[in-house]
Amino acid sequence: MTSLPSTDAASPLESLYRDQARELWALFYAYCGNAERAQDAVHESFLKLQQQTEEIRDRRAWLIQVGRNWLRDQARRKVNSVIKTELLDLNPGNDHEPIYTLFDKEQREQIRAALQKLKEADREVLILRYALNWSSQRIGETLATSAAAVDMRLTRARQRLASELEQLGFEHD
Amino acid sequence: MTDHKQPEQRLSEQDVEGLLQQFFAAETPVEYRSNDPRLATPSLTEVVAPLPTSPKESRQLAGYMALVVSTVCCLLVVSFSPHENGEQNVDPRSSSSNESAPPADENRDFVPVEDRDHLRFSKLGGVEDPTESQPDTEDTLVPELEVEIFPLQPDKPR
Repeated sequence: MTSLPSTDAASPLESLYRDQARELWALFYAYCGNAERAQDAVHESFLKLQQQTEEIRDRRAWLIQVGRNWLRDQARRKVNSVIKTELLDLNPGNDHEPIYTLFDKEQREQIRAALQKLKEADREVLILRYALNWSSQRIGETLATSAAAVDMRLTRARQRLASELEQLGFEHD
Repeated sequence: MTDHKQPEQRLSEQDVEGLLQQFFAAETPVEYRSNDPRLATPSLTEVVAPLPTSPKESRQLAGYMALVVSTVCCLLVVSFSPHENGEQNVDPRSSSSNESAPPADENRDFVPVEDRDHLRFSKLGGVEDPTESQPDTEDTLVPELEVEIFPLQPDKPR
């Protein structure tokens, strides 16, 4: 049973953030499909953990649940969410990143849309692999499954994504 | 009649893998791109180059520092050295007797006023030594003051 003191919690909280933040972001991103909002969910969940005075049995599960609840609340405020997404898309800084010169905006949105059509479990393995560069072993430990099962799920997820991209008319050079 | 895509237009798994790598490289926030989130905010010791630790590196650094110091000293000497023609805007009136005399090469063109013939006091109409050749004329003499001495009155007996 672990607890996080609310006053003298700088070091444990920072350590926990270093250990869990990337994984939480990936899971939240797989859940909502928006990188910025997933990052906000990570921050919100850790902020609520810092404010929490009661004992928490499983902090990782608690953080995931809090972050998902926050994302669900944000999704309910649909109008606000749409505006935020449009504002993020209008941000000129993203288009000037060198990596985005590899895609045009339409291709980027097609990949994003295709990812959203996948099952959440498929998105999770894809994001953990390609966003965090985790090995199948590490992904298996996180998702409580074997590395072989992760590899199979990755293969299926890539095939489904290719199919979705083709249906969206994705043109690849 | 089904619309089959050409094999070369279909996305292979490798194509999807490359697309996902590029997509998530841009999509992932900077602080989550590395395996260690601490690398996203490097500490001061990671930003500043570490000091050399091996003797060879220390010798190289010492040699480099000596070269820099000697170069700076040479530049300072050159910038503060006197002009070759010895011209300096020094006001002789400003020099006091307590100050050390300037080097001889700097004052080789300087002639004191008392050694300049055209500026001698005698040539300007004056007398250099008033006690030596003072003209004995009445015009130059100060007239004697006639002082009247009044004798003191003797004390009266009480």
